[in-house]
Amino acid sequence: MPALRHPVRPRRTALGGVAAALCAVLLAGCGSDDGSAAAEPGDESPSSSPSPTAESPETTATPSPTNEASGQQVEVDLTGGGTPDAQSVEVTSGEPVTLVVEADTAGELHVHSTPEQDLDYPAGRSEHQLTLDRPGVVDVESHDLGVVLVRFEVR
Amino acid sequence: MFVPQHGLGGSQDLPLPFPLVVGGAVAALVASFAVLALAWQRPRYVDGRPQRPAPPWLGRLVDHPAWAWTWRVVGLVFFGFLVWPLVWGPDLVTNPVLGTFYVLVWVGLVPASLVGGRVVRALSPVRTLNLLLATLLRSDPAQGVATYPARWGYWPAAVGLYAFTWQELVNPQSAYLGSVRVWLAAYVAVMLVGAAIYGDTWLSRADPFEAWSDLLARLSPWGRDADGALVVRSPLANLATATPRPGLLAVVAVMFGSTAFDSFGDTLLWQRVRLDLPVPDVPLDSLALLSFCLVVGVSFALASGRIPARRLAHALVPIVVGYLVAHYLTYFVEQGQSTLLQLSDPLVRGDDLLGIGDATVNYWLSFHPTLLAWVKVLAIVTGHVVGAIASHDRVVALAPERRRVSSQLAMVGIMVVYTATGLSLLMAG
Repeated sequence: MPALRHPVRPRRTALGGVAAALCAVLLAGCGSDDGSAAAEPGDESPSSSPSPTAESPETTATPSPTNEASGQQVEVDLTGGGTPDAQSVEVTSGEPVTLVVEADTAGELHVHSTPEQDLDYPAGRSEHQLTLDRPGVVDVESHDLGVVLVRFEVR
Repeated sequence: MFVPQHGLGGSQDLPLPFPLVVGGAVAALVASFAVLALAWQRPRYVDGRPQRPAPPWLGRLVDHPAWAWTWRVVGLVFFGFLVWPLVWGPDLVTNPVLGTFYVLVWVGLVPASLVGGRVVRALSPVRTLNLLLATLLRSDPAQGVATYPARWGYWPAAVGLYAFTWQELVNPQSAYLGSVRVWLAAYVAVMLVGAAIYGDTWLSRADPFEAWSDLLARLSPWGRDADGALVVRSPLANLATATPRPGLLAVVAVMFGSTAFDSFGDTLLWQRVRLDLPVPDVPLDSLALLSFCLVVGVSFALASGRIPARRLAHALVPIVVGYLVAHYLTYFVEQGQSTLLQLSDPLVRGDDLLGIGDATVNYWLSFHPTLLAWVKVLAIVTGHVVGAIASHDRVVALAPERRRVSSQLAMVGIMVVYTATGLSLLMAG
């Protein structure tokens, strides 16, 4: 069954336009990295502490569901070169979720929603808002690492 | 720049809620004991009986050569149409070949066979090609240069089914056109060469799609009596007519094991194991898929006791069907619609050959997760009950009086284990 949601080749040439359209429609704030691309390494968020040291390759995606004005926030910490364990997060359909990505280098996340969404993140800290409006399970996967980072249970 | 109207979806169903799973498992247990305690003491479904003749006009229709040729042409034309995007289409996930291969054909053959009988046999392009080739060479399509060895039975089909599920679930390239091209080219070659050697018996025993569809057709109301006339039977009576050839259990075990592996492979637990084990993904997944199939086959063979497992294996078919419904329902309904829309634009360049470009996929089912969960649990419990009755009827026919109770307990026991495992896999996150 998962054949058609397995890693899909980055469709830059043919589907770049789609990704851009999706960004405009679905990802408010996609690409607008609120200036944090140039954030200092010491610029820490309250819930994640990026400490990229060789001694701690085990980093974790730390979903910290908080109900702020912007809706639920989920942190994904990709710093340190480790492969974080996937975390399961329950969200309410139709309510915005903010994915906070912390990374050493820029990359791409794939949101296995319907339709699929690509999400480019810069080096450093960036926020991406997405709205999942159909009940189901939506994986957020890093194709560079080949791992599921967050599993949203949309209810 | 272009924007295809219909992207492919990647979201999956929510896990089944715990209370519903417990309820389903308890219902399966109670139903099992009800079957054991209350059911008949003499076999009821022997030699396709009870059966009644189909309406005469229906028999005349389906036995008319034009009927057979209509479906052959439909199958061949559709296959020919797909060769176009398969060879010249872009390597995008919206290429209709992918959705047709994995959703319309693979999943669609299940409901089609349950309703219409042996549909793959009727539509199969390789069967028609073999027939046309034989007509051209003025030979008999049923005759090859050798006789198909009876002891092979359905084993080649079981291997073919493993090859398909490997391509679907293990091959990291499964969503790329190249791997589908290779798979289909190998499939057509093996089928045609095999049919040239063994005649079209090869297609009945080795074509994974045809063998699986033929088996599912035993749960449809359609059958043939000893004289070949079209008859109508209850699915249970029809199921009992499945021919217990070698490899029948292997076919069912691959279907069950692979579907269970599909559920299991999606769990975060397995994702973590894959990360932590220092083994590359492809060998690990191949082995895991094979292990799932083997566990089903071996456990069922053990539970069969002194009755040859292949004489009971048909009782697993309804259980597999129930599990397939639970596993694939949303995927088939929603991905199937999106594939139909893609077929209107085979080269993904903005065409609308079928004139349905304005249509959109209806996601009603996804928006009703509670209903969906109920349908899934009911499908699994129904499959379990039908399977338990089918195995009961066969055990009553085959086991000597003194071993009847122990044989039945073993059969129903293994079915409860399968059903509970299936339910818990659908509950796992």
